[in-house]
Amino acid sequence: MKKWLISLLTVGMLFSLTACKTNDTKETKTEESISSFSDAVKKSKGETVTFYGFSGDEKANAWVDEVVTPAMKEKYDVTVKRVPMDIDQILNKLTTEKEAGTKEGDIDVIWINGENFYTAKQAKLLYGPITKKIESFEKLMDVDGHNSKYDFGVKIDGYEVPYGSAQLVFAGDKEKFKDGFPTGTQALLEYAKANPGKITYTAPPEFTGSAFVRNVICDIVGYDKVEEAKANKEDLYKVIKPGLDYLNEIKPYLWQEGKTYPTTTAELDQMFSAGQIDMSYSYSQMHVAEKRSDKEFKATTESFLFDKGTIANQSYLAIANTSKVKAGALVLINEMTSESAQLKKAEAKYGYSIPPFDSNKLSDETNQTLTDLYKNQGVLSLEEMQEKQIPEVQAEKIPIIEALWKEHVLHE
Amino acid sequence: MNKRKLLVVPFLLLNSVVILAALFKGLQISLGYYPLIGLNKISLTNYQQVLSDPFFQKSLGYSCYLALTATFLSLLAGVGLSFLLIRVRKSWLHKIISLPISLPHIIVALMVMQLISQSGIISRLFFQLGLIKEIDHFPLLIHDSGGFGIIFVFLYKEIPYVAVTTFAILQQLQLGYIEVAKNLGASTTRIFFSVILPMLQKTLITLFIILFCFTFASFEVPYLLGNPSNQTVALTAYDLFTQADLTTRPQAFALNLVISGICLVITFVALTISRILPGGRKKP
Repeated sequence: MKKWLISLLTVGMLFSLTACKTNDTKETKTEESISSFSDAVKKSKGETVTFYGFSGDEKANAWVDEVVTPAMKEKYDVTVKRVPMDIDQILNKLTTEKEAGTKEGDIDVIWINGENFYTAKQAKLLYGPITKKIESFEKLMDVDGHNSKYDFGVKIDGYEVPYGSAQLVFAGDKEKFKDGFPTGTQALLEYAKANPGKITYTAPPEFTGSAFVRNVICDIVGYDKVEEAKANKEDLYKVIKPGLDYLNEIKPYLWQEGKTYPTTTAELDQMFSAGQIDMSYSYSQMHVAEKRSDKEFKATTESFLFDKGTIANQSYLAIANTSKVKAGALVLINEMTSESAQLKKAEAKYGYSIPPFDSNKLSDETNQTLTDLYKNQGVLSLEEMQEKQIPEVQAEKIPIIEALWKEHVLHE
Repeated sequence: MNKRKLLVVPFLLLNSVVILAALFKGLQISLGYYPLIGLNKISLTNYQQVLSDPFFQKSLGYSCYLALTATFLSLLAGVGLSFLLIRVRKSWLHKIISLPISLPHIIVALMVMQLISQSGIISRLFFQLGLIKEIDHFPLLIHDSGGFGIIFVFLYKEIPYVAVTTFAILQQLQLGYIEVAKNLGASTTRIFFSVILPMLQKTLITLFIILFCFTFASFEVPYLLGNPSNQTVALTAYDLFTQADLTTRPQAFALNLVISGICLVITFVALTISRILPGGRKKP
């Protein structure tokens, strides 16, 4: 008889729980009032800013803790709190908060790019435009360059600031490739035919494997055609078909005759260092240098690119729309993209990363320092890497290309 | 009854908030109501899209194959092992067998990968001993089309679980029910159907439900050890959910609800079978 009472109580409690959340909608204080960078510096004094981002890279973490955080305290009296969180979790948190109607959150500065930026923009999770209020953007970066305007083909509109770059780089053992590295898809096919089972790639949707497939497609049909194609399955298939045909042609000569693929880049590296396959790849330009210094790869391992270029993209910094300390966040982004901090980041100790700067805007001295840093590590020179770059295809096309690969190559 | 039933309220509340709220939200999004990206028309298109996908049937078949193989083998081996435990009453043996239960699936999956992949420990050992000329000659046990690695992980985790659970039931059997039946002149078949099966079947069916639902919807093990061309349903749902394009998320939720539906149907069928079998009917 009392069953109804129990269910009533349950339902009542449920409602009261949801009710708690709806009333705390206060206006954010500094929403539109920051006019310039100097204004942001004034307003940010004494604030505490959080930096949310991927934390799997120890060296990048150390850079934030040892270089950026003390500099922020000293120069601007702003405290920085680094919060390790993967980008998809950050976005999930932001979308859930938005759905719940929250106006203020803990997330201030976010490390983001590409597909995730597309998601964040789609759901209107970011604050901006911010690039005009960041000094180092105007001073050091190629303001009109592709990377400042498009992120994976998605219009940036000033909502994020370039932070670091990434480029697909191949790794091979010089001694295995006696006639030189395969610097194009045709050479790669010939090598695979002559050495069956020694080449493979990680199966999309694995991030880097997906980039490899796009790179092969762009190498064969040309980036412009993929860029111009309409973002629907039928049209895109017609355009990229030669690329998919190539992947089918090379398939029988792949590891395990292409019947299966490794699923993570860690596995690809492991197979490479065990001599099971002859080529590995990474989105980090300094991958070979790092693996060589860890003694995981042989000292004869070197990086190479395709002559027509490999896919490159930037990663960016953005501010969450729900941030309570937008002034402080702007100052933090400026510091993280400053010349002094980025030159530190380029050192071996902090992971050899490549600054997002336009070399024409840097002093000769700075350019020389950067060149010296990357010498004799089995990695390519900055000029060569910048010469052989192709931009990312539009984010919305990536899932379609992955689906087409699945349909026409994997399940062929 | 009042006081005792009221004590259940906190438990019910917790579960209703966590499970029902999530389920309701999932149902809402799967039906196409996702205001965050401007979708607010209720329809069944997401379900249609997911179910009519050409690879859906294939992946459903593969998921069923993995789950059923792993479940039946675990039940068989687990019951066998518990009989062994009852014969050999050594506490250290009991401890060793219950050890894998405490390890997370993802850790076991990584262990197995390091152990039996072609560039793994065993393969390298064979290579050093000269048993194989190249590590490529070691059989492909990870990312293979039969899902050997995945089933191996499930067996390693689930057999001890079944063994430890049925062990408790078998101890009751030791109480002498079988001897009593024999004394009263029952045949071996009679003993099996009237004594052993009624006592064991409920536990076994419950274990079947737990194991099947778990392995069917398991994500991390097939993700790490699976063959990309044989995707499980859970992996497809994950792919749909993590796409950059938020518009595929409703499909991911639809697929998740389809998975939950399948598990519910299997549970219902298994429980019905359990009721029909001897020992399942309600006692007066």
